[in-house]
Amino acid sequence: MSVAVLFFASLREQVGREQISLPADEVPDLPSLLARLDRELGDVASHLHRPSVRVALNQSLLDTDDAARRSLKDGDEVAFLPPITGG
Amino acid sequence: MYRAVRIQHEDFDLGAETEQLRAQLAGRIGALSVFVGLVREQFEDSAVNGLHLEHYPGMTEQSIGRILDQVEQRWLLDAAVIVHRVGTLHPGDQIVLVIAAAGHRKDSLEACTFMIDYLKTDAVFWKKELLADGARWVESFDTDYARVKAWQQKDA
Repeated sequence: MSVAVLFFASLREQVGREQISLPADEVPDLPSLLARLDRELGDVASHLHRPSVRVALNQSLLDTDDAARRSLKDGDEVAFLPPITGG
Repeated sequence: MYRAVRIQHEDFDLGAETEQLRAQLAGRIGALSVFVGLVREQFEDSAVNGLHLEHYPGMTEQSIGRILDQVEQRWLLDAAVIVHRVGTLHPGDQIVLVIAAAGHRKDSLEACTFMIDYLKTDAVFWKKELLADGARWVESFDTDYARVKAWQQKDA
């Protein structure tokens, strides 16, 4: 019963982790997940709050308003994405 | 429209890719436009030893799929192919292949340009430059976003 949290590219290096698994009942929504990451990761969690960082829930990008409201459940995958640079 | 999206570590063979489409669509297509992106040895003032490309399996394929959806709505195409490499690449290596096949050149040329423009801003990849004195993650460019905005304004 958990929510998987993924960090990509520069964020993975800054956070120092690729993935964290959190108990689903302790992170019922994204704001609580962010608060939990702040406690768990300490100072490096500040990188997750930068305006350029996008959040994807189950591989779909969330806009900022959406992210504040969205509830989480067991099996969800939350990814923190720095600005993309493909092509 | 035939569509193919591949994310891979290994190199691609431009000749084999176009030949396959030519055989598959023989007689139907009158134009085949191709873009190949390559690793340069210099970025701004720094010498680049290589690039490291990373993606988000699943989400990256979806992000490219949405670019192809848009292309299919805008132009009359017979095929659209995007092959994007990940992993560590070196100067001169191929990074990305974009092919658009159509009845006529205007559709294939414009669709090919659209696809590489949107790959820059909408496809989920991250590039890290490997420099002589360390490595740095590439930042996104305002000029790339300006090109995509120009396509959006054409819609209006």
